Amino acid sequence: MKRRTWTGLAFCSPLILGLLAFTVLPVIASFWFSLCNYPILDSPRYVGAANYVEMAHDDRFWHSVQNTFVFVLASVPLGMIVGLGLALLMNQRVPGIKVFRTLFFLPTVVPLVANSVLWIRMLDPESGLINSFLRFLHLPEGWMPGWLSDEHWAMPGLILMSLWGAGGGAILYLAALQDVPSELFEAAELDGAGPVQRFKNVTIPLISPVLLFTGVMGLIGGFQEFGRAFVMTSGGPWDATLFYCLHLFNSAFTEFRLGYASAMAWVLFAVILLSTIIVMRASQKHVQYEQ
Amino acid sequence: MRRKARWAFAALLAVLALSGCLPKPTPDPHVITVWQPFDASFQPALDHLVAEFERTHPGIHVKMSFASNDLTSSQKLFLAIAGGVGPDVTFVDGQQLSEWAARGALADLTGSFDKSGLKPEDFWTPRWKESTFRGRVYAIPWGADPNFAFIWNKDMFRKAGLNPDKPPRTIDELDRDIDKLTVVDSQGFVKQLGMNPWEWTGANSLFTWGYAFGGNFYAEPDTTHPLGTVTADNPKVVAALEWMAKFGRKYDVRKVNAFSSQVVGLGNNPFYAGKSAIRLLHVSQIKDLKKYAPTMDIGIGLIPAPPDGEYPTGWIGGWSLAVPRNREVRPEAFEFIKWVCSSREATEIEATDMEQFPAYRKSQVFDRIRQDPVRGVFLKILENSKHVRTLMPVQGYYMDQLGRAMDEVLYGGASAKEALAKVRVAVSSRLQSVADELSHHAVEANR
Repeated sequence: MKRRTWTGLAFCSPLILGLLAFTVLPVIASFWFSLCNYPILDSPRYVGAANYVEMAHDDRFWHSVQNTFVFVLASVPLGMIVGLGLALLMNQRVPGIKVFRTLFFLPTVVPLVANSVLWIRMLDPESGLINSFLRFLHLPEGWMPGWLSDEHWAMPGLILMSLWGAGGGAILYLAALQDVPSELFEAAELDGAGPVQRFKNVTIPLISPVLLFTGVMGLIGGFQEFGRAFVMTSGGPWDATLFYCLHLFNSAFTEFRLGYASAMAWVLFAVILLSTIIVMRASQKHVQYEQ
Repeated sequence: MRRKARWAFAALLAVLALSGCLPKPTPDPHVITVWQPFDASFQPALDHLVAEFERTHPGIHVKMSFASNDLTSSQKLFLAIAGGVGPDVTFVDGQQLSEWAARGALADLTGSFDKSGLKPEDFWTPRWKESTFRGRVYAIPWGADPNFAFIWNKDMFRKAGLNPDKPPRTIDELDRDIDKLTVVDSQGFVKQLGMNPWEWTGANSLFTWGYAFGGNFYAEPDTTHPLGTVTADNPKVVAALEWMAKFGRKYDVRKVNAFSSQVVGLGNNPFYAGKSAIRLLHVSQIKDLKKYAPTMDIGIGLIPAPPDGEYPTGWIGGWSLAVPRNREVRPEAFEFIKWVCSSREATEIEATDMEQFPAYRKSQVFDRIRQDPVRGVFLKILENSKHVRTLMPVQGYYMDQLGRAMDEVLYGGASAKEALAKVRVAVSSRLQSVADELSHHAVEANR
């Protein structure tokens, strides 16, 4: 190798070493732990695939898988639709648009715990803002969701809350929208395309790489959903919001089963990898990259 | 120049790489590190405690820092112990002790305790039990929380046509009073509630009512069961959960929870708003009464119990002080523990600044507490109670399973007997694997 390469590597070395020590090594170690009985405070003891076998028979594991899939399948597409909608609105030339852009982005930078405490109040069935709004619409009392105190409404409540962060995606969509050359719209308009057709045939294909990116990132984040349920519901009521990662965390730190938790982490990794590959493959024909 | 820079780089990297292999720095003999789990409102009291210790122990400094402990887990502490580091002293909740001791998280304090002049009978018995595991001392108890006192809003009793000076004594009377005190609108929504039996979330409510019904959650160790026996489906615990389920069916568990969904213990609790007539009060919430309901006419007494139940009833919780296993028990550290848990000055700060009850039953503060109309009731509960949550090295899992059984029964309509039998089977099997681990270690140690 050239001397320049060595010098470059030397300059990168703090990062490379950090990555090796604090990410790569723990990842490899966690695979070993997943084959062990490892009660954290004691040394790991090899048990073969026992943790993986146990997972298949753990009702709560499957329940957490189901909850997490419901969350991902609902929150990711909804988040993208709302984000795109916001981006289209924020793409208008109206006075004060920069203020609106800031306002819609703001929830993204609110720390998770603060956000969660806020939403506990928002989702309060008696005095919360959301049910107050529903009452303002004169919906019958019997329709009022019990949100976090009702096992059927707790998950929709958390999904609704996740849309609060749609402003983060919206900023990316906005950047993509502003990249779409205006002459393409003009050409489409000359050809007689209406607003819906222009959106469908010009806007969407041109921002499709960003849609794919946010979709995949949403998927990865969604499968790792943890904080909201940890802070707001502890997985309840009746395990309605027991997410995969919450079950994983409890296994490790309240049940002292780091081996089982590590095995769960590897299964999660496989699921995320597989879903990402499926999404990438499935989207190949629909995503257009600029030549 | 370039060559020099490269050598400098190589040297830097070598230092970075080798720093992990250096021997651990020896601790400063004059400083003890302590990890505490309390929220910021306790900070002034903790500062006072440390200042008082340093004043009375010249030459020793205490460095106290926060390590979260949500009663089921203390991630930071476990990782520190696993990594071979950690504080000289840590707080540990009483119910965690068996589990932490069995897992080898804590140092054996028996030797230091025996030399200290303290005796087991200096502490409230349930709290002392929570400080030992298999005959060895692993912590010194600091606080004693008598759970719970029964408080009621006298005006609401009057309005409901009840005698405000005659609180319910039995569960039948309690049911009858709750019915009179509860208002439900035409849609079935709770507008005013007599009492929410599961206001203390998860297993804590079941412990409370299970003990009041005369039940028990575990049997003490014997020769065949060296770690004790799980008795979650004891008929009286089943009866307590059935009683809660009956209440849940009558008023709809979702509507009761929607009504009382406000965070427990804060000023927006429905009791303080005059919308809920009865609640079970924790000793740390006495100050909230003054703060959030200064003019409310409140009665305070004991939790009702069925005729064949336990009256007065209660279980005792509280924090203790311990030493993580990979630290030697330093004399200064044990002196700190002993001082905090039993000295005149420290128990005074505990009772006055923190409004807690010391676990040290000989503390002078109890003379004053006995005269107090509110605290005196808590003292009566403390003096009469035999129980703690449980004393098993699977406590976190047990609590979790009990909470889940409650959800299954309250939300899912499952039978209390079956749900609790499932808990017994699941927790017993975990307990067995802990017992296996322990005997495996004993065999290894004997080799």
